[in-house]
Amino acid sequence: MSLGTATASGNERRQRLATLSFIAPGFLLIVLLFLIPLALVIAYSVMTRGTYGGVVWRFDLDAYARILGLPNEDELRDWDFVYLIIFAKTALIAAATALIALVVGYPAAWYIARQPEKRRFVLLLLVTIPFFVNALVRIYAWMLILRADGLVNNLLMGLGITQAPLQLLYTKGAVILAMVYQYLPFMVLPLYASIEKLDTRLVEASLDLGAGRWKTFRRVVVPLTRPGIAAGLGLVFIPAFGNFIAPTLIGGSKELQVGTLLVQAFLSARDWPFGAAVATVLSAIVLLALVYMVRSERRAPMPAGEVRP
Amino acid sequence: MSAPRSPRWSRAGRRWLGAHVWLFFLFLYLPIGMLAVYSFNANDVSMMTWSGFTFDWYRRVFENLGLLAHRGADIAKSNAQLYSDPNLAPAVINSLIVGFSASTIATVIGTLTAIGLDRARFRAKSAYRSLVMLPIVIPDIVLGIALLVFMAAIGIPLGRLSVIAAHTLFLSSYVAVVVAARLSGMDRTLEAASADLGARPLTTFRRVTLPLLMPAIVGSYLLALVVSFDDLVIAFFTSGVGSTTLPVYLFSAIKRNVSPEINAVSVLIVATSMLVVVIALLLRRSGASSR
Repeated sequence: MSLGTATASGNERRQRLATLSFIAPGFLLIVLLFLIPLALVIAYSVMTRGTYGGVVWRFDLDAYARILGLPNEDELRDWDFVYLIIFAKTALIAAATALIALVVGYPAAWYIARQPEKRRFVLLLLVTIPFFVNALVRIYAWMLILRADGLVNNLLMGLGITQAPLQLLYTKGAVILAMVYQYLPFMVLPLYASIEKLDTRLVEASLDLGAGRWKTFRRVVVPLTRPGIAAGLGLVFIPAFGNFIAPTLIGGSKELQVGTLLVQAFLSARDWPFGAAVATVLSAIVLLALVYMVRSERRAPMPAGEVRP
Repeated sequence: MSAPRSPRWSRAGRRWLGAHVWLFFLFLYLPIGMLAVYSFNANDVSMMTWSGFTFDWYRRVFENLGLLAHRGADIAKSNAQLYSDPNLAPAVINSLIVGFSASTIATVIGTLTAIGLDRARFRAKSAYRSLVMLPIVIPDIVLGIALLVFMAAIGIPLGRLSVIAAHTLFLSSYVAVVVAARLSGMDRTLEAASADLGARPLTTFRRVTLPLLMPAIVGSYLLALVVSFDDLVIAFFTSGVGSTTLPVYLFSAIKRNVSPEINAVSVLIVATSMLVVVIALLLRRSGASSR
């Protein structure tokens, strides 16, 4: 009897060790190549700039003061909100991208979720494939379409609608368009997952009880698919906020965004503390978006009885 | 669950929805399709004005890759410097080496992580699951810069190895997510039956669990290859002189100037990844239905 328990607990210990040995390599990898590098970035953000790149290990919050636009008498710097404006502009562009993707993606996700199984699989495959098409190539395709001698201008001038090529490339609109294109699968897939789970009887009930179509959509469909909406908005907003390929290639040099600012700080200005501070703030914003996503997912499963009229 | 079609849609409403979905897919595929069509355009003065069909740009790409002999006459006729690009072939080789090494290591680590997380009974499990997701959710630019800073701090020279290390990190998370999804949908009674029939845990794992997981593992390996092959931002920060991957090469080429050869290279990249992705996704599907 006592022998039996000893073996059992020995087994259990062995099992636990086996489980740990499964997790250990991944854990080491994440600590070494993710947590430590991120901690290093945060540490660098409160250090002093080295003359030729790198940092001097002396505590200094000046990088954050510059992001906030605070004046600094030692460096003869006055109030200057240029970086705050870049952050705000980037947030607006990313938010616009996410909202447009939602408006375009929701009906498509709805349609796909209402198809018979076989067709649904094919349509989902068609949504997923572009996600794996090289992001750079997808942006390059838009360059060819929007250039001065690109497809759109050729078409407009060929039809005699415009006389001279329009400036389409190197605008905010071009950046938003390319990013909507790039991140649409991120929006549609979580929306689809939510809509597929939606109990259509609740929609029927709402309509039967006299709520109009719009009211039913607003009060029944949207709340029930909120986890998908939140996940889609987050999954588009986050990479759009940090995107640097699109603003570099089709935003032009005038349109500085957080991503381009970050690259400039590290590669051209060689101001590592400032770049690290920008990266830290960017990560903090991303983390907030993630928390929002997870929380609306947790609030999600609403029992049928709780749907308010 | 096959959802019943809602009967409340008006005919006009359904027609609008159908039209929207058509436009939606057109929007997803038209730009790439356009690129593919115009990559055969003979006009090298204005790339987007059609003037005839040609294989020339593809031939030049294959010549630059060393897969076709250069046509001497052609080069003498035009600007030889412009048309022979010594950087393309090394970039392709770098991408292949990085992709295969990182995907292989990441598939092992990611699969182990998924299985470990599935079995583990520790308290911080859900927190750890979120931590595993973070490297793919965080903007790639932050990850790239963090790795650049890290490599510089501990004195690892930027080269193929640093790109492989960086890719291994986020591909592992990627594989872990895909395999975990498969695990959560797996029929557990088979493992229980194997144990009941007296198989030892290791035997059950080798003979039951692993074969059931195999389609997901192979599928995620292929997807990892494609994701590594497509990554620009992280490779941009962690590669050094002589270790640039294909996307990094393409990025600097596009920034300099667009050209018909770039079109051809782009289409070849897209065609390769699409082929691998379709195989991977079909594989995952066949795995899911053969329960």
